[in-house]
Amino acid sequence: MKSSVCLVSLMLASSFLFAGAPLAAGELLPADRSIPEVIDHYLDLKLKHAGAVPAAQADDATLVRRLMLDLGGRIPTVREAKAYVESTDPQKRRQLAERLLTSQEYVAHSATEFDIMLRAGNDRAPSVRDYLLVALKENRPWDQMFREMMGEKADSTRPENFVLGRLEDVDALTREVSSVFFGINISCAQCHRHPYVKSLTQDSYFGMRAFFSRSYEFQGQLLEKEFGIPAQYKSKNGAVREVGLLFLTGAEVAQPSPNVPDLPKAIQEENKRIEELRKNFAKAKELPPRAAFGFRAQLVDVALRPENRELFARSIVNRLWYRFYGHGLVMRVDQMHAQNAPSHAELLDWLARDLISHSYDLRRLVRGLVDSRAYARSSRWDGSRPPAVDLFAVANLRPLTPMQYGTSQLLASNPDLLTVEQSPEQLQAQSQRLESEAQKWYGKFIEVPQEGMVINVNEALRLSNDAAMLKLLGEKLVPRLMKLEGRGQQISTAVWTVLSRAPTEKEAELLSAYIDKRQDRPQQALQQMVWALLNCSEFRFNH
Amino acid sequence: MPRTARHQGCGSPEHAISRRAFLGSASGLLLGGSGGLNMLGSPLLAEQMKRDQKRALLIFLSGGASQFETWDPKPGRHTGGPFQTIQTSIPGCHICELLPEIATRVHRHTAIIRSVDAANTDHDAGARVVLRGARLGNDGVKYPTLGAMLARELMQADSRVPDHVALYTAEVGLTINAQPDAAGFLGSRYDPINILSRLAPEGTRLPEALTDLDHQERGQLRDLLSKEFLKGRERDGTAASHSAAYSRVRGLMSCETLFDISQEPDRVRARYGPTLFGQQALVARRLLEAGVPFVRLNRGWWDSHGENFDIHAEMVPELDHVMSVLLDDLEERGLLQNTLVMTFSEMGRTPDINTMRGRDHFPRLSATLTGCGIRPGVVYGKTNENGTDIAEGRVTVPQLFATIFKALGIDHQKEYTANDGRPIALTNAGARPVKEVLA
Amino acid sequence: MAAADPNTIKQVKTLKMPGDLLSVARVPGGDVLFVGNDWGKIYRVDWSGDKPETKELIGHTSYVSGLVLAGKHIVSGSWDRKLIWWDAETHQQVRTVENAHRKWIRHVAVAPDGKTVASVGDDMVGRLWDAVAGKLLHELQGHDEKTPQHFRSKLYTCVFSPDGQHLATGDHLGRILIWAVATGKQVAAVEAPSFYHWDFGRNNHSAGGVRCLAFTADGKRIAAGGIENRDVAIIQGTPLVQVFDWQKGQKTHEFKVGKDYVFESLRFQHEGAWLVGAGGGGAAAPKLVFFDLEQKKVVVEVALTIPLHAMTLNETSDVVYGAGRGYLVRWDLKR
Repeated sequence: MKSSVCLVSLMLASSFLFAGAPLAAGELLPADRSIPEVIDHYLDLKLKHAGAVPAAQADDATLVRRLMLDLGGRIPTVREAKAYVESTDPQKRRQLAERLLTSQEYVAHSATEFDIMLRAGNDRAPSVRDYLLVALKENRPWDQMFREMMGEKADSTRPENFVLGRLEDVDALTREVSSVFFGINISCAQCHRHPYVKSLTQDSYFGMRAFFSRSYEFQGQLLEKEFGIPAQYKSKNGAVREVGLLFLTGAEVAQPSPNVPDLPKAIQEENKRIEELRKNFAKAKELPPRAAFGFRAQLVDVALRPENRELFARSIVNRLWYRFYGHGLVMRVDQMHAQNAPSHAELLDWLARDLISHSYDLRRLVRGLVDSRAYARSSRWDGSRPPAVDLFAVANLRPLTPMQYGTSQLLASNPDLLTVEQSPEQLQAQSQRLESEAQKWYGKFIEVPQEGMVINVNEALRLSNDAAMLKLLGEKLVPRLMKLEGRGQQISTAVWTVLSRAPTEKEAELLSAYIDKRQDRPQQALQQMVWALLNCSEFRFNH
Repeated sequence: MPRTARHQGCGSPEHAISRRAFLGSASGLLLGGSGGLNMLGSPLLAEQMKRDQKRALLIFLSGGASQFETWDPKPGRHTGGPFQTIQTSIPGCHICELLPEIATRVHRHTAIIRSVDAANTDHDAGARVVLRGARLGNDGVKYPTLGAMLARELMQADSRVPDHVALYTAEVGLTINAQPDAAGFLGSRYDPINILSRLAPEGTRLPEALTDLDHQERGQLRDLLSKEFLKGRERDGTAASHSAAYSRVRGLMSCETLFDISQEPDRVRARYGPTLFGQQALVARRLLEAGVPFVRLNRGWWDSHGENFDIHAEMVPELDHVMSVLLDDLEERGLLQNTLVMTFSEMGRTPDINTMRGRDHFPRLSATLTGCGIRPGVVYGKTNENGTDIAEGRVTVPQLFATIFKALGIDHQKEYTANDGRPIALTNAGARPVKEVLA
Repeated sequence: MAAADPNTIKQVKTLKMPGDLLSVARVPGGDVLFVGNDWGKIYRVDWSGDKPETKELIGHTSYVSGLVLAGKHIVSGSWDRKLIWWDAETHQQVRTVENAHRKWIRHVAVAPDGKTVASVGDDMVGRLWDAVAGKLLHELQGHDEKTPQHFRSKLYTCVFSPDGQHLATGDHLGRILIWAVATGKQVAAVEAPSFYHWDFGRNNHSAGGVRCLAFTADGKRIAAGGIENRDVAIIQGTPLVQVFDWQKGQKTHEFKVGKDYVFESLRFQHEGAWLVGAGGGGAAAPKLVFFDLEQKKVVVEVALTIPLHAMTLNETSDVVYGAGRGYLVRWDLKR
């Protein structure tokens, strides 16, 4: 449906320069070092060069909340938080991460996060969360997941919906595949050469688009046609250019020439045949034959070839780094081109190499990312001027996603939802309930975080004044506080439940005074206190 | 201490009344009254403010309205579609027959530009182009939207009303509509209050469970808890925006009546008509009247890939009527001379009519500018016979922006300091206003 | 004699024509057709010989949306609001009714006896005209001018019953009104709301409408065609045909065939053996579909390469003429 008329006059470039510096294995730290060790090595090196001293390590209460939000998608329960804080086991951090990484909550949370990432901000893009739940549970390698989402073979969990659900807009499909899997937003090149990235030409765009040109839907299945005319586009100077299958690195994929005397006729006949099969499908259940030469399979192959696969590996490394550190090694995460250098080039190279040599094991990468000293730094900077964000000297505040925020507010409001007495099945059922409630209540008005996100006043208005929302906030927590003896108990329980830590003395005084002033309406006093805790900045962020 | 008003009026002593003095004397006004300037105690003050403060309204036709079926018809051409044209009140100027009401008014305050070049055919990218002056932000600068810049330039420092409100007919929060990060490096004060498919922001009313005092103190408690946490942590705009959002809650609650059109006489409401767009236009008028410097009124979704003519037959008459009533109403209230009303889309629609009787995305479009600073009755720029390209007077988006700024008395070359310390002018270097449409 | 069998349908010829063909009328007894297009042109096409002969009739300035042969005249209606009477032999304009409707004329129909012509337009009024004298006989007022959402409605189509006693008119909201031709009085109303889609929240405008109508041979039922719309920005949805017993106001049949195109014309086999619907514009390739009302099933679907905006049959219903984007098409059926 999109017209690609564009009249800016620029010359077409022919060279490609995406991959950046090639991996110089000799200069990188040895492959057998651990991920956290390597992260800290490179970050420390750069901090030293910059003459900066990093922030101290975060305290236990902060860290257990951070790990729970990052790996479980919600704040810890009071019991979980206290158990961690009180434990003297030197291995407790690694043990917690390990427990979470093998939990169903991790799978569900990761599926949500990946689903958001894969939708690339396109509100019409399909969800592949059902597939992600299965694939992430099995910890399928990322390259395999890419293959599956490109529709390598049909599957009841429908990874191919990634492509199928976008077939109505192949331009969006092209853009989003390039951006999500390879970190390169090529939308500018649809109409003209990229203004900053000389190597991004219209050829790059239409060459990538060509990989999807034969794809079509048949009875809910993703198929490809055997025949088709070569991809063409009208360049800015009006000339019609033909372009073959061209990967972002400039690698061309040779296509077998159609072995038919009359191509237009073959195309027409194939279309006719497909129409007939479509018509008779209810009876015959016959599918059109598979194309002998699958274009999408070729994309997967060329992208994962040793000489090209860095794009693929670096993109997921950078996106996961962004998720756990709040700022990418390359910013923006969809601008990973040669003109936009990473803050820590060797680190990115090492992590990409490590991911490739460990069969694209995502769980291994995540485990490593959350095990570094840098991950565990405090988010508070007490010095005068904070170091540059890309030094990672201090942890970033990361706004919670709608799901993290929703499940956490609901859990804090109803602390008995998840208890240790529950069987794993009960726990899972409760988690799922929590998820769907969070989606229902928060999915629409809490925005998905993005770079430079601005929290809109609409959010504050809704949380401040919406009657149904106010009823929900602290729904079960407040009656429980009412039953507790003593103001101190009430305040301590409330702060532990909502903020996963003990109240400071100053806070205890402040909250106590607030409740005191409302002795004629104790329940309302507690309700308002819980509201203030649930709405304060500390709760809104993963800090 | 009284200060001089930002925008001087006629300069006579009785008009040299500061806005702060005005707000001081009328501070209860926004809480209880029927809103707007009618309720001001002193007609002199109201008049003063009307004259002094410039305002802007963007009627944004999102999805891409067809220039053929509105301002730039091509009757009798194969690209022209089925509609006829009508003579307007500007001699020699014909527009589509779907705009009969506006056709009788264009000579009064309006300039039509038929040669805007958006150089883009994608909704989201196009919206970045036409709303951020063709600055895509690939250089790391968080460019503000036109609305945020106008809000910044036209706001009153001690204003009690919002600086930037965006009303949209749809409830889908597409980026093109809701414009996350609209203010960019200007900071969240200039971000819009987004109102999707309603007339007022949600949650502007005091909840029944709380007294007003408890509501206020609950908010203060939240602020105190947050302040302690944010010490040493407020390093980026997101954390600041969270505090800013809560700090605006009470102010907005006090402005609630501004959004309440039931306070308008039946006659006025009837005039704007019963559609959501008409009602939102009335809200927009109330906001402008009360001194909101920038309002964006989004009517969508015009994306007529199929049934272009049926869609425009339905939507253009509504635009015609609502825009006409709005201009009349602003004029009658003495506001139009200080209010610039703009209409445009993120792109135009193709000359070719596709197999769905639709028109697809096209980088050329028409725009209108009405009111403040505009030379009335001007038709600027031309497309060729079939509307396939601009023939005369190409206006780039930065030029359009420069023209808008100039019309409102704002120096379009003025520089801001961006988030990374760079000086950034309001419009791209070299963009000159189109002087032919300026008064 | 057995009715022509849709299963034997075969495309026999096509003729490239300028513009989008929006209306078609056939001269009885041969292969001569009149077609109207979106450039305001009418063409007489003699398609009987090896080389088709075309003649141009110039008079309209916008879409020629309705075209009928009424006795010695061709009567055409257009979005330019005009009805023009032409001499079918000399092709001279006989009469022009300027502003026959206050808005765009969407369709023109002729009674079986050729004595009465009906026109409908977006002023939401149906008008009955004396086919010979050109006199306005009745104004048929009953369709709502506005949609429930307060936008202007549209009156897309009209058709006479086989006995010429009734006229049916169909609007944007899916309302079908039946009128007594002799008196101009409304005698029945049928509600077919599936044809109307108001999209709130995303597009904030509507789409749909009863786009075509056909009476059964006995005149007791009326078939309506269009689309059950999903996306109003792109023509997406389920192509829809519904049949009603209009006296009882009951729906008797519903057919949904394929996706993403609009049924723009419907015709019954002259003895009622089958119904044929032609698909027009849409996001997907349209179809020509034959329906068996008795069996309540689709008999044959023919994939089309162009959208068809108008369609007609010959007297014996064994030839189908389609008019669409840039082409005239003829299909033959065997008995």
